[in-house]
Amino acid sequence: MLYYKAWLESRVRFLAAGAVLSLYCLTFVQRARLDFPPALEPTLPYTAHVWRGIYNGLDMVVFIIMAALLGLGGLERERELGTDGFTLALPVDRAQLLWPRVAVAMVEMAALAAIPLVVVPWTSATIGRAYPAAHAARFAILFATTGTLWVSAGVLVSVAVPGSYASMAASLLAQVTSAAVFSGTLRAHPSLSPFNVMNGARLSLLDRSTDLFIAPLPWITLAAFLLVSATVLAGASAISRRRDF
Amino acid sequence: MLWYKAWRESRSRFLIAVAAVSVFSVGVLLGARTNFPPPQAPLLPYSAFVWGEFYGNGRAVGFSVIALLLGLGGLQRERASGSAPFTLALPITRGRLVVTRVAVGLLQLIVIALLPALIVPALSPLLARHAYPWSQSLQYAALFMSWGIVWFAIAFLWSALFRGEFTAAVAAILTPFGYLVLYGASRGDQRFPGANPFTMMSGGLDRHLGGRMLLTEPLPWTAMSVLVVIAAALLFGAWRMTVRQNF
Repeated sequence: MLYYKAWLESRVRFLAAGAVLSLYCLTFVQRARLDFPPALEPTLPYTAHVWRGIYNGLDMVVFIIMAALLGLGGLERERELGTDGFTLALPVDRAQLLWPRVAVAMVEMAALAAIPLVVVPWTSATIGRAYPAAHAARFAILFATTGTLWVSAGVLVSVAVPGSYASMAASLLAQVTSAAVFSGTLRAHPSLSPFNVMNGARLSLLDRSTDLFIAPLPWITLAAFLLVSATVLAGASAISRRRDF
Repeated sequence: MLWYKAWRESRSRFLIAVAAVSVFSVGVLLGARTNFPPPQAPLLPYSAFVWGEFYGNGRAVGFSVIALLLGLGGLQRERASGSAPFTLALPITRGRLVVTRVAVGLLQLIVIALLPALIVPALSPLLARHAYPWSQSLQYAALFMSWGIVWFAIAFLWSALFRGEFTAAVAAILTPFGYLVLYGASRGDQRFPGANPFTMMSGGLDRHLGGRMLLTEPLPWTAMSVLVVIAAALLFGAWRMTVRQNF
């Protein structure tokens, strides 16, 4: 029942993001029929065109923003709406309220990460181009693993900052600021940046001409991201337990 | 009193945005003391460095997100939280409520657009030991505001339409991306390059931007006026909707 409650509370965000991401991937690939190869780069491989438009383009930006928004919600939001009393009256402790919400958000985020995996190879085939599903699957793994960072940051903000719009602002501006810091001040350390790890940009994971994988996935970095996410979620759980409603 | 109410409702978003933009701006200038010029581009002009840090590379997206967040709120949200009857019991028209909230939100957006415009030229000589022209930063602030008011108006319209705060927020945040999907699908980048929001905000309509990333042409006043008219139409629509809603 708690999972269903979490789904009902987050489904509009998830379905809206899924619709925009699917539509974007679909139209981007369909457009390749008309504008690929670009006039200025007639020898550009199709796989590099897809990487620039999807894995290093709008899909990535929307995914990051929506992953953070999926982490929001919970008791602080309910307090604002006045429904927290009913939720707290359920015979479960606060951790049991938090973890289903986290699990549903993580599954939704993983589903969003898998959209290009489903849409790109299939739509590419319909226009007579090929995009290897194995590489799309690797990008989906990178997106989903780094996505746990954005979801857990959203969860932390949702329990620490009162007010739906304030938590939204804090969550999104934390992302914007960290993106700016990683692309500016920390530019010399690209492997630290989740934004680079997500799509292999500025790392030696990809062949620079085709933008296909030439190295195994950075499992240690991904494990570190999961560990950071777990730590952040543990912090969120601790804050949630101590909140006085 | 209405001004104070609008301020109270939006101040946490505004102050979080002010803190993020200020800390980032000062942090970049402090970092420039050691990171500029970058080793991979030792001849990079300081103006191009400032453009890359403050006006290019997705910064316009960040400002757009702030504008969208500041546009949210209003009577529908109060309806969800149960405080709408108290607000509607005040001896004022709904139009005045809307106008006050728009005015406070736009003033907040102007302050945020002006923050880097003031911080960069004022602190560059002190922190980064380089100069950056005031005229450039003010022109870029105007370009950011040109689309910023449209995003603000869109968020305001969605929040007048939807009761759920997440529904309005998600609709608002996804609108620019949905617009870009349609823009790309209709090959707008080839037919109407001026209608690309992030290109325009980053100065991409200036054909002589050059490697120094300094604006040399006059601002695109016609395009900016069109955007003001669009924003006004959206706000008018939100006002009409709010006036006719049944609470």
